[in-house]
Amino acid sequence: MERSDGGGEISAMRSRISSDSSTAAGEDRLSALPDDILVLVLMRLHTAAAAAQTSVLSRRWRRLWALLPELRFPSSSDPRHIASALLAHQAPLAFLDVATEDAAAESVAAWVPAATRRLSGSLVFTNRTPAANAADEGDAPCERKRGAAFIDLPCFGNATAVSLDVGYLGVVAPLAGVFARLTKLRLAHVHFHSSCALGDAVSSRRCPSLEKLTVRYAMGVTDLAVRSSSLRRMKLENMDSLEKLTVVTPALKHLTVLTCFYRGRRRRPVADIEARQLKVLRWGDLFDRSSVKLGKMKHLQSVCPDVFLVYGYPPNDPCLALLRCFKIIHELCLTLVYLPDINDRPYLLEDMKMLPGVTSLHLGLTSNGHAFGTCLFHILKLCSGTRKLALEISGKSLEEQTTCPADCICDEHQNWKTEELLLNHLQEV
Amino acid sequence: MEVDKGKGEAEETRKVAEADRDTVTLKSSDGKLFEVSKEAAARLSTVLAGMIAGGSIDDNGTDLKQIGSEALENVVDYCNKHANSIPSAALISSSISFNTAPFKEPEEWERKFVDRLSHDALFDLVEAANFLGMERLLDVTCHKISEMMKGKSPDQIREVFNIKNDYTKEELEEIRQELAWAFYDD
Repeated sequence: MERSDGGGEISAMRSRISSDSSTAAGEDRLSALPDDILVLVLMRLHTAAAAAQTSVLSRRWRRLWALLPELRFPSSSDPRHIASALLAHQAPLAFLDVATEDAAAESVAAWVPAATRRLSGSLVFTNRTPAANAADEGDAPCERKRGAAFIDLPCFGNATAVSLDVGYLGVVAPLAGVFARLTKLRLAHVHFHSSCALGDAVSSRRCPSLEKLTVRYAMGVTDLAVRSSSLRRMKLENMDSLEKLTVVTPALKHLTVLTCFYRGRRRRPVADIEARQLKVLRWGDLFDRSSVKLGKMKHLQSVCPDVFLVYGYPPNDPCLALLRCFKIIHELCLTLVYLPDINDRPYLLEDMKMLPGVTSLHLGLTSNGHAFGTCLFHILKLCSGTRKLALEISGKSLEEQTTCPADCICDEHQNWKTEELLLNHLQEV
Repeated sequence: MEVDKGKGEAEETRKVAEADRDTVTLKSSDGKLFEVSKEAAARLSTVLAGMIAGGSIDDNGTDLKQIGSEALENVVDYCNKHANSIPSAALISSSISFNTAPFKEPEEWERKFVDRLSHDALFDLVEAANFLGMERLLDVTCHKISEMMKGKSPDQIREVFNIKNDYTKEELEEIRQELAWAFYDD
């Protein structure tokens, strides 16, 4: 029986049956509840400060807040207070959520060590900065301030999940120590110190339980080598300095690489991917068969190549080169984009001469108001074996003769026999 | 589903007493009988689930000496309402994602359910939920109590809950200094 330690108190109080007499009599029924119930109440006050403020109610409440398994510091908190709070707090922390606005590395470094000692569950740290917001909106991230301090990340020995969105503060990953229980790691808007061995820190030797790794908007990592037997999902997005990627992950099921090499100085993707169990590959990035090695992936079910520009100048080589790697694939996700202004730009779809044999085709179309019937027909002709088609049309229309209304997003899921449906569809267009 | 309040009907039902009944009968400290869906009881209360699994459910009314009839009626009412409600997507998703609160917000009907309770009935229900190991009902009732505390000064909270301030002035000052970080942010 869980939480039964209050049973005695309950039966003792149960002699009274009629309601509302106790309030009038001045009985304090809240303070009479067992500690674990009051902790449930305090947890729902959301912020660590609100919970700690109850200390002044009476002696009964003096140290209750310190038993909380979860502490939240919303962005209004002064980051310096977080360290004080963590020092005064007593219980193991299952969840620590810290949000700051444009905090400096020094203020973060003040509480992180205390958090590390206490943490036995998840840590979510979000430092909102103008630079991070700009990056999210698609602007090029700013250069790091010269001479600004780096945060020395400690080894979160007991944490199970860590999410750090540090707003382009400089970070040094620990060079030693084992993240024994860590299963999820998410790093965003991070400027890694140049000597930082991120790959080593997340590989099996030091991160034996890691199952999910996400790195978004990271600078400073040129060579990333991940060797993990536990990793199931990995997503690398906008790792600006990446020049070389090595992935040796026998258990990996999902791999996503988005616009990492595009931004690199060399604009040449060098990668070696060994993931025998891979099921889903999403590669929205430069791709070159001579420099990107994909090992055997017998279980691969779904491939999502880079976007394909229907009209434009940059050749769609990354998309086409990846498509050429596969003869048959169960599910293919293609994204076709019409730029708003396509005047004077060459029609590129003729470059797509063949597609792998596909059972299920997911077609994302950003038409920007342009008629896309021909393009659709072209693709469907190449995928004559398709049994299931999902069509997602999105985009703002800039021209009058638009085929779908402004901002419309249409979804169709249909099972069709190709030949007939091609005709059906043609009639609609 | 209506609640039987210890009248003859419940006794009649019990006389049928097949092993595969889909309800269980619970008896409050003051001897009143309530029927509750066996499935909902087992799903919502770890204690009742244990009793059902262990065969210690009494067809003549399982004695719950610690729970008064009013609180038990609310417990049973909650179970039956829960059995009939369609859980929202938020309730179904069990995995804790990074950026959401690890506990689940009460549903609209659950809010209404606790909002109509008197001060004492609320605490009776918290105690009953605690005794019966009803995690979800504890969530909902504790959420309600926290709502009653939010945005209030210590004095206001003491007044709402009849909490007696047993600190000396010096002690209070000491705590405020020690927990300056908590008071500073306001």
